[in-house]
Amino acid sequence: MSQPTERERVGSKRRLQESRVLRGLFRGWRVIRSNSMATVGFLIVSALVVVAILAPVLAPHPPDAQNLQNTLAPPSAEHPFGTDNTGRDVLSRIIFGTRYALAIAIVVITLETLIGVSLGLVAGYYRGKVDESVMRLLDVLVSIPPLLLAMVIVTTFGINIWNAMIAIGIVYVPMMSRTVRSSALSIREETYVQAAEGLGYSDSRVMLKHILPNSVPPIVVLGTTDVAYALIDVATLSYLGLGIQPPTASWGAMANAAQGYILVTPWPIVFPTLAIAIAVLGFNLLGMGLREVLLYGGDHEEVVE
Amino acid sequence: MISSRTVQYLLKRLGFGVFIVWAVTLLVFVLLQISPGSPADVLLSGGVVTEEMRQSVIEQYNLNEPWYVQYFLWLKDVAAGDLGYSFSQQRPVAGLIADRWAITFQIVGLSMLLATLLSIPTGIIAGANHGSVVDRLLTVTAIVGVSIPVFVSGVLAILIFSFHLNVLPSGGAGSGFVGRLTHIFVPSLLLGGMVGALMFRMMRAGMRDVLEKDYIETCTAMGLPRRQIILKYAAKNAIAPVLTVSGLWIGFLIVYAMVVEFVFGMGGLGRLIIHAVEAQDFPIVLAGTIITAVVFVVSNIVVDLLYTWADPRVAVGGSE
Repeated sequence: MSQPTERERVGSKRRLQESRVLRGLFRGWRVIRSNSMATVGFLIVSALVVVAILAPVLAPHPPDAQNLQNTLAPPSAEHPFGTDNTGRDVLSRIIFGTRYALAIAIVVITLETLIGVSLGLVAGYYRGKVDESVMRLLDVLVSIPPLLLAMVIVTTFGINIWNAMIAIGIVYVPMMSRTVRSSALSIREETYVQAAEGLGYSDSRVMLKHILPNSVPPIVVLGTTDVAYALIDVATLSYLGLGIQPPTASWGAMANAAQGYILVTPWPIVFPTLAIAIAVLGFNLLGMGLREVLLYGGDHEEVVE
Repeated sequence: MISSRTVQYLLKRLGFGVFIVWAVTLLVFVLLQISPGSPADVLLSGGVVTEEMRQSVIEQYNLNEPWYVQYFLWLKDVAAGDLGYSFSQQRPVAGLIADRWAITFQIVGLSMLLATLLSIPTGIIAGANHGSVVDRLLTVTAIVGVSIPVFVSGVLAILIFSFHLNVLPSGGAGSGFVGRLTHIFVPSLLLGGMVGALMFRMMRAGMRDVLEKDYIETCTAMGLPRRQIILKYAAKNAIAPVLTVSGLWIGFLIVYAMVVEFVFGMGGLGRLIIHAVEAQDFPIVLAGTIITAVVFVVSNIVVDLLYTWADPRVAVGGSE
């Protein structure tokens, strides 16, 4: 047999990686499917992603097209969710609003993983003084409620969409750090971590390759539920006029704009707020279901390998 | 009996509480320092600015001094109860807050009460009958409950009860005990429902864990009636973590009480602080943050006290 060429070796390595990704996805799907709450949540979240991507195809009207001849109209065949105070189609705006909801989810998850997970890993792995100082800093941040801390941040840096999303993303970092830290504290006592240390692996390698993969379940569970809370917080901030501003087609901003016409017609405020509740419900169900399966073992033992 | 060890533990917690409040003031102060624009501009951005006002704010906050001197002098004022002056409202912040805090904290109190009444019994039932129809029904209700933001349920409640059925007041705060109660009941119920749903989840999980403990098996083996086991032995132990977490939620509760109170158009802290954020009236936001931090720390010390009383092992075993 001849030696495999360089090209073949690279190719097989890539296939191996592909199959690892596929296997991971398949395993994730099995975990989700084993719990009915997680399944429903996953379907809602997937639907949100599909709607966000296909928004221009799905929306019957352009989200910003005004029609001053037909303002605050009740639901009809032409406008299934009615029209708002400048005659824009509420359904189309809600469809485009999914993009903002998912942007919030992405910002929160990114900040939580980049800052929250690394702080937690470092604190839990090094313990001692590093841990002590990180934890005290987080204690301080946790004693200001998320929404209020976000308000302080937007007061300082000004009210706009980015400040609102980043502020909400930052306020969820402490919880994630605490969770990862406590998980790292117990995992670092495991024999395989001691073995890795004994082999002289670098600290970052031990943290990233040995501790992190084993802290994934609590990270996934907390991350999913935090997205739900963050959606509520951003929507609340926007509804109060302190977050995403009208005429942006985000659900909170739509509710804020419709507030003044609530006595004329409730539809422009009812449908966006229902959309918020459904999106939050999706992430909550997914998070709760994953918690049951990943942290409590779930009803189907074979899932947890 | 309170042992010297318990006293020592509580003193430690108290010291930590003071540290937290101090650190919150420092954090918010540093935020003010790094904000774009000079601190004088941020402090003044609430209204029309005259050169005279600029001078007075520079003098009042010692803005010509280095930042640590400013911070020290400002902290001294705050410790003496002087929370600064609101330029958008043209009044001292302490006075503005004194006029408004009561309604917000009444909503906080009532919703905490309603949350407890709603969540503990249902949590015990669901946890003790894990997997039953009742458990599933309650769990789904709780998930839906935490998924509806309070401003959404508030808006819907106003639409249904005030505008369509005309059975509830839609705004104002009411006067007298009964008047106030009818005004704050629905907002508190909505908020209490949301917090109650979170507490229910903890109580249910706690019951599930406790009922699998060995001492429960011992009780069963001794032939104690199941009702007694659940209420006397399991529920009492399951309630402890709910107590701790409800202490951590108090800050969240205060902020969301401000939100419902704003939605229902009551003149509490909510409207004051929300308008202050809009107007970048920093002294009011600063004061609101400090007050929330103080209430948070104090209520957590109270929870610690209750906890030490309920479970003496905490004080003996140390803080972790």
